[in-house]
Amino acid sequence: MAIRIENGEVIDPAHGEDRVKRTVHIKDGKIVADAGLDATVIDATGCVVMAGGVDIHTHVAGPKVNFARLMRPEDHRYEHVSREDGYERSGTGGVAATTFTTGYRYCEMGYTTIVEPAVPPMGARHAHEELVDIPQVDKAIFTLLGNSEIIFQYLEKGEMSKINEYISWIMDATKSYSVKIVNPGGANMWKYRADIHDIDQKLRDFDTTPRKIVLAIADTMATLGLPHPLHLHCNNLGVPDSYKTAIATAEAMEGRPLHLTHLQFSSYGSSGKRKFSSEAPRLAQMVNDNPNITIDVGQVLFGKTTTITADGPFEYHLHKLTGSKWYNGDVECEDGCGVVPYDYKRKSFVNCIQWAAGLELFLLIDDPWRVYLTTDHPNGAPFITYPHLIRMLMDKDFRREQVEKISVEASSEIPLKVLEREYSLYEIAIITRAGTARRLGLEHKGHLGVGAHADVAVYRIGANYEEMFAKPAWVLKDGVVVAKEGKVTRQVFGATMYVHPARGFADIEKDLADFFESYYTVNINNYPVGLEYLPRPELIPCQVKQND
Amino acid sequence: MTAVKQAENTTVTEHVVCPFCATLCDDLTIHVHNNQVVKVRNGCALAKGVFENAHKEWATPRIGGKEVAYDSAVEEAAKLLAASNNPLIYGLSATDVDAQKKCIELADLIGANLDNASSV
Amino acid sequence: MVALQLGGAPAATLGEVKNRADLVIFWGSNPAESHPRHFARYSGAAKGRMNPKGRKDRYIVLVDIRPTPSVKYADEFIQIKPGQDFEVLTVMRMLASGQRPDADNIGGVEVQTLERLVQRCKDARMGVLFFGQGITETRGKHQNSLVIYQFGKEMNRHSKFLTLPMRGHYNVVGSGNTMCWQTGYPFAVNFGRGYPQFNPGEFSVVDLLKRKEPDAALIVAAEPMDHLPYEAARHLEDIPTIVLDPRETLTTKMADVVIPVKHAGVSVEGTAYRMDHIPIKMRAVLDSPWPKDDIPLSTIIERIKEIRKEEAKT
Repeated sequence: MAIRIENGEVIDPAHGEDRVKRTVHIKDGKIVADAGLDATVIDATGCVVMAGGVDIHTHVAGPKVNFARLMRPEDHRYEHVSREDGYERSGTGGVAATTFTTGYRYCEMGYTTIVEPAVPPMGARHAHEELVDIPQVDKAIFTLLGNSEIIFQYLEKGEMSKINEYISWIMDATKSYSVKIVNPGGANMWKYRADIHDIDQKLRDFDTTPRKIVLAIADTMATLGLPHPLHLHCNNLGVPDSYKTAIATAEAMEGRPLHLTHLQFSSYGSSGKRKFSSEAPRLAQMVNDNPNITIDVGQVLFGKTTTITADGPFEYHLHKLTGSKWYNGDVECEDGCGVVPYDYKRKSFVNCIQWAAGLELFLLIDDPWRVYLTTDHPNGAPFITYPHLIRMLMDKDFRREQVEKISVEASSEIPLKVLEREYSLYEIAIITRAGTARRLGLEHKGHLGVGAHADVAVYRIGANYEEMFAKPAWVLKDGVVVAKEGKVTRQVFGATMYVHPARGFADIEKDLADFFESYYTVNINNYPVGLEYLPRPELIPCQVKQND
Repeated sequence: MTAVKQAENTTVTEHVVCPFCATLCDDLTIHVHNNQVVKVRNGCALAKGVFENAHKEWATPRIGGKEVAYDSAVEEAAKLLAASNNPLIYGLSATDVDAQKKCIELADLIGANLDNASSV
Repeated sequence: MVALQLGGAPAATLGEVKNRADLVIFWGSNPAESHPRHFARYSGAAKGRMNPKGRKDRYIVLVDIRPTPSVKYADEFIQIKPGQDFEVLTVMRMLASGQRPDADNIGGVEVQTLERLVQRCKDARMGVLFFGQGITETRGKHQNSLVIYQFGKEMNRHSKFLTLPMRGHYNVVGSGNTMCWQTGYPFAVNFGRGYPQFNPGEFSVVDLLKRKEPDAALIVAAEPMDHLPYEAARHLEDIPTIVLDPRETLTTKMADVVIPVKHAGVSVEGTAYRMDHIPIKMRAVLDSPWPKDDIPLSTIIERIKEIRKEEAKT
């Protein structure tokens, strides 16, 4: 099948193309130099043509997401996708949407790749079973390892080669793409109703610290050559002075590549009358000064949502604060999670500071290649709000209108008030696809060069950027038109991307057998997730440095 | 390899998961001779019941009590469900996830009621 | 399930119980007969990180309306009057918050006994309350589960405390999970309007059948003629009923159409979810001439699509 997208303005930041009028040629699912004369023509007059969106951090599948669906029947009541509207499979929405609905909605915004960033190893099988049921997009999971008792045991003894071997094994056993750390050591301490407050605080039962955990895992990831670097949710997230922990963690990395996720939730200080302030400008400066660091924002938007995180202690405190429903799910030997519904209100001083801090990060980080658009779906807001967020970044008058709606007390304190920067379409293309694809190490995504996957979004240029990004005129997945005018026209299933790092760093077979026998309740022989759980697997190669 | 052929027509499979209760013990060893379970190691009395009786009383394809070809039974099921205005799909709790997914897809297609043992 | 939807719960995987729990309460559950290896693998004798001596490191309490074979595994048995679970648990919530009821005996239990139990919960390194069908299938139903979850959540102010249901069928948790990720709801769903709607009491199997609403039924791996109240199950005798099952059952014997299938976990591999939501891949040990059940289901789906197309033409 061949397609030519003609008369559109191509925005392809990976190749420096900014609104270049050229034809995009597609054949057999790839971008090609010439699709031939008998190719179907899409007339993109009045449109920009970009690669499909790539979301680097969105909670869409796995045990804790499913608890969020389970716990909120009221969230599904009024939003649904019906077969009567032509969808292959029905579903319900709200903030924690069902799997098919999730795929359709991403596709209808022009997104073609998504990453579920927080799966405990024991939940990997579940996450993959859900990913199979998310249509329209390519997908991947990150495995949670920041509270792994196996790693802690090796850390105590300084056995780095065994950590390398274990992480290589667990990447394969979970069919994962990369490593995520959430509140290093904190979920482990939560098993004793405690938490971690400092990166040099010792854990209770293990002679190690968050600093040592983070450094060891980052070094292993470099040794294994994983395509995406350490994806980190810092300690002390969500509390006043969380920004200090974020800075201390970044400094601890000493130049190693690091992705700080939903940094907005770590950008609070304790100044001002309410002892709660935005320190986003300081964190933006830190990012500007440290080229090894990338971030995604985790923007908060006003409205009801459900918070879902592996940060168990954080969710308990939120439950106590709000009196809301609370689910806690500690995972043996590995990690934990919590789920609490939350309502971000314009009248709330704290919520307004959070809202502003996210926008400040976007506007104060100079290099768009190192800041990515996320809402930490659904923690800051559901992903369907992205078009609204894009408009706030591109249109300063619109942004000012929004600032006028928030709590007066908060609006007088936020640095956001004086920021005049407006994102260009080129920069939006970077923070939503080119930059995320590059940081994920996906060479065939996020751009429109020859050889790239033909995942393409065609947006009709309009004065209202929210409408423009909410309803792309065409969306193509692997060279096939799958949505038109913001509505799915064809159900397709994408690949699940995973890595298979090298082994042979150490012999840990007996260690693992003993550990499982002593502390796990699942038989090690029944633990690894086989490739049969990935009906459309796509192996992404690791890049091992030769001269190490 | 967890299934080891021992003698003629005899296999021993380790790390077997017991499909009886939701404790889902996954350390059973099952000896099978001539497609019949002859020994269950690590299993409780309930597990032994499941495996040792598994070769007995197999269902056969039937319509109205009469044995028919497999495809005929499936075709008849499709016709009955297609003709229904308010079908019920019930069960799901004692089969695997792939079957559960297909039950939901079918319920979605025909506008059925769908329930499992959680409501009982 | 409804209780979980209403308020959430403090939970964990069973390995947490094995590794850390020093107080284990079984309420309305008789694991010695219903889940015979639960005790050895997870909750009683299991040795773990903070329980190196296993059984000796745990205090085990059994609460039920009559002594059961599980009593001999417990350190303490508390017998309550039938149907009084809600009252007893509510008084435990009161006691936990420092209040005292105006009576000395609640539901057949001395208040002093409950006070001691609540104090044990508060002092536990990790307390776990497992609750079974004795509480979820008697008067009060989800109200009983709800008060347990509330008690568990409140107890987390004092100690690490978990509340975990003892689920029955080996993959009932999988069916709840699968339905939840595809429809948003774990059971009692209706697709009549083209999208999933949830209403227990309206779309739940016993209520639907008692009201004689379904005009055809497909039973997949279940025995309604044996397990459902007869006043509900009997409606299946009056409507076309299709059964997918590996073996003959009371339900296959009355069914209009029987489609034999492989036995998941016995004659075919497949995924099941343990009671703590951990998915495990089941193995196969026997051969069977029949296909796995998703295969005839897929055929039925494709055939119905064709029948609909043919109908649309004429």
